This record gives sequence, C-alpha cells and structure tokens, in this order.
Amino acid sequence: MASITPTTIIGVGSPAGDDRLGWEVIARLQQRLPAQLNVELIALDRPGSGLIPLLQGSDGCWLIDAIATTGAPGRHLQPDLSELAQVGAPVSGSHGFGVAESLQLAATLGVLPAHLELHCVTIGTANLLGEQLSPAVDAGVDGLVQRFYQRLVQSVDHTATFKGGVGSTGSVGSPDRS
Amino acid sequence: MSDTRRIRIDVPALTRVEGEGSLKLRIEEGRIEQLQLSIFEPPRYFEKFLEGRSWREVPDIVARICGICPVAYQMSAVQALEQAFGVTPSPWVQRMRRLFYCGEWLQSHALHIHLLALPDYLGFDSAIAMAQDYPEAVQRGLRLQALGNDLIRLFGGRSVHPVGARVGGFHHAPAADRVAALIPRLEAARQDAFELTQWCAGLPMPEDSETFISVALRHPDDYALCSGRLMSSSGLSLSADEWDQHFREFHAPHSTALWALLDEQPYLVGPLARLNLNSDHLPPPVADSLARTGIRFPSSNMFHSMLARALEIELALHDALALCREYHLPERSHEPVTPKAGVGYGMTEAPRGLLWHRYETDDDGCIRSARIVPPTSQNQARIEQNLAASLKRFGLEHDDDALRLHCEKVIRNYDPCISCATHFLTLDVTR
Repeated sequence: MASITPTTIIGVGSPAGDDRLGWEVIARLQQRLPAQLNVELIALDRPGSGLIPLLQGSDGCWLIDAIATTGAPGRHLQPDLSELAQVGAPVSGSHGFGVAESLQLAATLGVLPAHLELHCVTIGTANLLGEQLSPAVDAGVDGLVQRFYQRLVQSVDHTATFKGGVGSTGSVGSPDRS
Repeated sequence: MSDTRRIRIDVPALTRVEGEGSLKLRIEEGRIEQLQLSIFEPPRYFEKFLEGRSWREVPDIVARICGICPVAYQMSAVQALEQAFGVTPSPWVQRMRRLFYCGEWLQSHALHIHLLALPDYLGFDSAIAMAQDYPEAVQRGLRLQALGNDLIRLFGGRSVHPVGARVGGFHHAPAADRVAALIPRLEAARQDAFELTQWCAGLPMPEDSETFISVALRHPDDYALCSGRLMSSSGLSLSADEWDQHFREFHAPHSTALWALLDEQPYLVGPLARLNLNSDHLPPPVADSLARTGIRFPSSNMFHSMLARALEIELALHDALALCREYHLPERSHEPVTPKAGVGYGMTEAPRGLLWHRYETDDDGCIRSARIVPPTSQNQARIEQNLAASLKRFGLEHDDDALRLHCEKVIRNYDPCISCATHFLTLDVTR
C-alpha cells in the first residue's frame, strides 16, 4: 500500500543540544523540498498541549522528535504511542506535557489525524547543551531528511520500514534497519 | 485510627506544576511536626546572566525564564528599563501590551484549569484520564489555550519565548487583517469562557477559609494588569520603587528559590489576590457572570483561585476583543530610546501573580544589576502556611493517600511555576 502524502510535517525540538534535531529536519527540508510541494513545514519549541490544535487541522502529519535511549545515537525509529509514552522525551514540554502526553490526549479526544507517522531519532546524554548536533545525530538527521525527500519528491515508498506508528498507513515488509 | 500514629509523607517530585519541587510532611501524635515545600530546581542565575548585557537583549533573555509566562517577564522588564531611560510608551503601545498580556493570561489560565487543576476536582490523576469522561471540557480548554497562544504570536512572532517586545514598544505592528481575523474567534470564545466560569463555580470545592494577605496591582480605571500601584489587603499602597520598604527576600534552607515576606508575613499573589482587590473593576459582562455564580469576592477560600482564573479568562477575552476592534496601524510601533545610566522598576501581573523587576544601567544602557522577584517565590511561604492550616481542617486522621492528594490539591491550586514534572514517585509512610 502506498503511503499517504502528509499535509504537515512538524519537527519538535528545543535549543538544547541534540534535542534540536526536530528543527534541523524542518530546516533541511525547507532547503531541499521544491516550493510547489504542498506540505506545511513547522518547527515547534516544546509545544506541550499546543501541539493538539495543529494535529487537529491536518489530514496527514509526520511528526519528528528526539527520543532518549541508552543505545547508539542517530538511529531512526518509528515508535507507536505506547512505546513513546514509556520512553519519554529527553526534554519535557511545559508542566510535563510533552509530545507523548499530547498525543495520548489527542487520541483520547479522537482528534488525531487520520494519517499520523511518528519519526524519532535517538539521542544520548553526551550533547544536551551544545548549539550543534553531535556527528551521529547529524548523520541520522541527514538520513531521515533523505528518506523524506525520496518519499515526497521521488515517490519512493518507504512504508516497508514502518513498525507501527500511530494511525499511520501501511505496515508491510521488514522492520526499520536504518 | 488513633492520633498517636506517626506519618511521614515524602513527595519527591510534585506533578502538574511547572518546576521541580517536593513536599515533606511528618505528623506525630496528631500534630504536624514537619511540613516543607522544597524547591530543588537548581538556581538559574538569570539575574547574573543579565549583568553586562545590553538593554536591547533584556526582553529576549528574560523571556527564557518561563515557557508559560514569558510575556510577563518581558513586560515587567521593558517597563523598568523605560523608567530608567525616561521613555514613555505611546498610548497605542500601552493598549497593545495589554492585548499581548491578555493572550498570556488566556493560555496560561486555560492550561492550568483544564489540564492541571481540574483532574483534582473530578477525581482523575491526569487530564488524559479526565478527557475520556469530559472530552468537551478538555476541548474547550485547548481552544481557549490556542486562542491565547495566537494572541501572543500576533505581537511576539511565536507563542513560546516571543521575540516581538522591545523597550519602547514592539519591533513590528501586526497587520490589521491579522488582528481582524481574531475577532470572530474571540467573540465565539466568550461563550466558552462564560460556561467555564459557571462550571467552575459548580464544582465541589472544599470549604477552606482562612485569613491571609492579598497583594496585587490596582489601577484606578481598570482591572490592573500591567500598570497601577501595588496594593495589599492589609492597607498598603506602594509604587514599585518602594518595594524594599515592606518586602524582604531571604533564603530558606530547604529551597533553592528565594522566599519573600511582606512586613514579615506570608502573603498571596495571583488570581485570587487580584480578584480580592479588584473585583469592583470587572467589566459589566464579567461582573454579571460572577454574580450568577452566587460567590462573593473578596473570598477567603483559597480554592476559589480556580474560579478567579476562569473569571480572568472572561476578562482577558472581553478586553482583547475591545482592543482588537479598535486596532489600527500606528505611525510607529515603538518610541525612540536613548539609553542612559539610571535605575528603573517594573511590576506587572503575571498569570500567577505580581512580578517585580529592578534594573540599574550604565551610560550605554548595559545592565549593572538586575533583581527579579517572581510570583511563585512570593507564594512559597503562603503555600506552607496554607498547607498546615488546610491539612488540620481536612483532618490528619485521613489515610496517607487522602492526605497526599489534599496536599497536592492545595499546592497545585497556586499554579506554582517551578518548572518540569515527573510523577509522584514514592510515598514513604512511617507509622
């Protein structure tokens, strides 16, 4: 099954080290994607529950955030909602209302977009305050941007890499190896 | 349960508050032997960061102090620096600052009521759980919060850590059509806000009255937000530069945030204090809404803080609508500023209460020294005082879970902004 082209791509981040990767994805997509492509690119700074109205207005959304792990940084993951809630964000939103909580609340309210994909890049604790991405995370961001470019511009179907994102389309093929 | 039991409740991390705080409660033989609200978030040194910085940088630096109330920090700062430089903002700037600030009250109050406080009153442990049974209420909160964020974005460029404010006014005036586009949303939201007030008034609130001092700004013409004199229910009327004559900050050993006392007494700042001192300045539609609740202000019931927040949402919408309807592009969006050496004071009403700033500048307008007294540090002594009294009225014989929940309710009622939130991790009870 072919993936659904998103109307919105949201990168969530903060100025804090590798946690800024969501912004970097948006910035690099802005440079690469052709202007006529009808996709809204949004960079958000820990929006908390303010994420929900943005999701509500979108038919299809790709959401990018950093995910804290003890494993290798720079890996691309597509967690489902329960996995995201367990792991938690490296930098919480206001009042502890981060992306996972906002998505859970949106799901409870039944206002998640029909097609929502979560794309996370793993980060560690080595770069929590820097102004640049660490090399591994930087490479992971480049890989994710390339992947999005292929899907959006070259119509390469990457849904084979899907492993159960919230409300996303397509879950065929092998798990993500990237 | 006999009153000889010994109870120790450690709440290592308070949830549904902004910040890192904890609570220690020890009860022995029916008496509270220890009760400490501890703020353990590391000092953030913003006042030191500001030293040596240009006056131009101050609004953007202080906005980073809080993700929920950056407008308040910016407005108190620019007010203080304008006083230091002898700048008088134009009437247009003063009105638009109120509009900007209305957006912050709207988003902050809507967030607190719907996502942080309401679960306490409706028997849920989180807004997510509450949303299953009260989806309309949560949706209403999100709508109000989003509208507040859009108002902030109008002047600030973005809703979190906005960048549009400057000494003298704003960097840019928004286009008239952007302002006009908000009017229908503001009109529609007034019904939401009215229903919210009536709903909050009908929630089961503890009857929990006690005597306390309210402190807030008061202005002769309107419900004070970013101008006026500092008033207290004990009879004080002060200008910002008279702060040190009556207020004293000090370091409590169990807290990394400074405490503050008014004439050596704990005091309250925030929505309830504001309404207690300004209810006669509510505009007629909001006053009518309050009258329909049957609840009178001044109120000595701390749990009326949520109702006060709801009424301030109505007020913010009322004022924002009026200000948007009269909006016009100004000749210039800020007054010219010539920096000079001086001292300036600013005080405005952040969503959580009075926010006082003092700056000393050098000839170039660089900051020699900065002092910032945020509302939550002012409320700390009052929270402990309130907890002790409220627990006794609630009854120390209740089981540990009930005691802990009551403590959490009392603390969250202040909407303390100490930043962050993990869940209550453990409950350590000694009998």
